[in-house]
Amino acid sequence: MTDPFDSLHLPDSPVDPPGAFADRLRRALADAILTGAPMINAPALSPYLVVADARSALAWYSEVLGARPRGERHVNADGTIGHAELDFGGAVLMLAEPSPLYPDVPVGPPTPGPFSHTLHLEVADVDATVATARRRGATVERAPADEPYGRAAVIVDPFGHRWMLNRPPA
Amino acid sequence: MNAPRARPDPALGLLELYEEALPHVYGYLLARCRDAALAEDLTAETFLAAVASVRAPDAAASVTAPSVPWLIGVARHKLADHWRRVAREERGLRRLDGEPEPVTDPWETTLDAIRARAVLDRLGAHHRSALTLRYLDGLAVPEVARVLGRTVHATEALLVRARAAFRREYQGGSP
Repeated sequence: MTDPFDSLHLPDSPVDPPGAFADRLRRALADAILTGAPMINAPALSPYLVVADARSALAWYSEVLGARPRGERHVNADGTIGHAELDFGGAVLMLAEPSPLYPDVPVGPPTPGPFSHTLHLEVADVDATVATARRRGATVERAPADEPYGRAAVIVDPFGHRWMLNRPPA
Repeated sequence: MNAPRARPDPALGLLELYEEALPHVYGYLLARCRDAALAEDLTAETFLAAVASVRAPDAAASVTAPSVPWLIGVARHKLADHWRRVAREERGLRRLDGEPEPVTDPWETTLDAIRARAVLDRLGAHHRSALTLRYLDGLAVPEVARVLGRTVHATEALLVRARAAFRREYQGGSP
């Protein structure tokens, strides 16, 4: 005997919602995804860089290195950026500008000379990334070359930070 | 293409899926709650909750590659949450459980789908949610139990009461 309740089964029945709602939700979704959300936690270890011009750096790292802004920026009372975050494929890079409001915090942007650290970033296309970086003002320290560990290059970005770009062997 | 390879944000997949998935999610919710404004609210809740789910550090692989069926599952939970809220409000108004349950299943009749939907609308939220998940969605009892956050035993009992309430309303019930 069949159960009469079984006749209530509803097949998948797509319905287009009102266009205004669809647009509004798309914007809300894009906001939640692209500006990052406080619900994501940072990995245990994240580099925290000081740059002289964080707004330019955020744009450069996004446009040249494929990062995405995440979370809210913190803007100091003097207009400097006290804290901002970028997402690099799940890793987090934190940025801040020095501010005269905090003279006791001993940080500053890199100065020319030997580097104490390098940021190692895996990219899909090392050659293309280096070409874009050069066009956008980076110094190419080591042109792309095939190494045992993959296709690799070293650049210094316009804010003075050194990056090793690598595409590991397949 | 210079996007980092390490681990793309799985939430981006949701944005790509949005146009395709929206009518399915909205249609699923509208057919079950039969209220356009509520269906919009629950649709929005579904997509925004999905962002959090795919980004959760312990998200399963099936979750980090979002699909329409997975989103329907999220929508189902949002619908069940909604009915739980409504049921709580209803409990404040009148006692719903503890009714006598003399009804014997199975029930030999053919349901008129349109009338059945109207009857469902008139049932209390906890009866409506159990019947919707079990019969409109066609979920097995253990799955219904999982969505409602009840034990299988409690869900079976709820379904018996819900069927009885439905039957009373359908057979004689007030219009």
